[in-house]
Amino acid sequence: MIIFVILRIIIGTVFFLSGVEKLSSPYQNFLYIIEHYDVIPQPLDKWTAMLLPWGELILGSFTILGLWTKAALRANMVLFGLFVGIIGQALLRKLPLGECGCFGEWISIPPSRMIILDMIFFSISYLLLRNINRTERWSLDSYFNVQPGSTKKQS
Amino acid sequence: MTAKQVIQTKKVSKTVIATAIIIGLVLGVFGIRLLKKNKTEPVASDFRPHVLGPDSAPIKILEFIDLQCPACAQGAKIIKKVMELHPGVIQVELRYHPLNSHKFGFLSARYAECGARQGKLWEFAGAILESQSQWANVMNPIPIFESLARNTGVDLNSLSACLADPSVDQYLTKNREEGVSRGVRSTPTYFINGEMLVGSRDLEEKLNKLIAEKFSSAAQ
Repeated sequence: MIIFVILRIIIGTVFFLSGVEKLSSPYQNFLYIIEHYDVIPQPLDKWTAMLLPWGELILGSFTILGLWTKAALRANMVLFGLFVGIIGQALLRKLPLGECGCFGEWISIPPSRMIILDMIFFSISYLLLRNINRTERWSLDSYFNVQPGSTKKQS
Repeated sequence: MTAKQVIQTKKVSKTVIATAIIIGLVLGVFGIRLLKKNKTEPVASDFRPHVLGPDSAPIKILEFIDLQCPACAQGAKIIKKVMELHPGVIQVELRYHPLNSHKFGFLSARYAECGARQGKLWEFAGAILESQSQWANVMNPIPIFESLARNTGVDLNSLSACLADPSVDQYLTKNREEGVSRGVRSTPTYFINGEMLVGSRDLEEKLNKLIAEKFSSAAQ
């Protein structure tokens, strides 16, 4: 049972650290990494560089703490799916990427490995979502005891 | 309290907690940024910057480059072209920022700095950047650096004495530390009139835009 909680915290920590690393340096550094993937047009790339790290940070925090866990896990899946797509197209096009740039200077992971990691994280998020009752143990959701979907039923 | 009211209260509490977390995260991030800003390395009084262009130039570029980085070579070409087209408009200040990922980044910077100590920085560093493809993938780039030095008028005897001088490495390290404290992670990183630009993709457009603004304001 506790494995689901541990996995939830691991997945959340991935996003949390990724967000902290990017936000602790000027956004232009992340923009430069986005430019390398050559997939997001201007000026959307600039907005992505400024906003995505905040999204990762908040999403990571909510996942770790288990706040709106179901929605957070769905968002995790969307992001990991996007990352797989973006890295995948870069690999197919053989773009000259030395490393994925996912964690800035902290950890250097080549794109060919990162895409596998993203697939694993995607699968874990799906697994957690399928076992939401176990995943929500020791979470803020369980503390507040609002079952997913219950508020909708009430209204 | 009815069951409906209890659920409503819990929902509100959850929203309050979420808002508090987000506020905490925002404050935390800005706190980290403020701490980093305060830790920015001050430029030492004995620091000898490498400057090209007049002090009166309206566009001032502080560049952090790695001589083995292809985008830095591209950026150098762009700056050279714009400076030739618009003389007196741009001043460039160079900082070495050799990256660990480049095998000869530090060595090439060492050679360039020794060229600088003979007053040949811009010619020699320019030649090193332009000939990246010749030396970046060889086992030993030293003969190529020496050949480039000879061609740009750098004295080889003084060069070899300089290469053994520990103050060269100290100077390069100071350059890098300054870059790190300014948030430089990749090369090339430019601070154009204080505004950060990473990479050379938008450099020409940015410079042309600034020059156009300068000329239009001068015409008014």
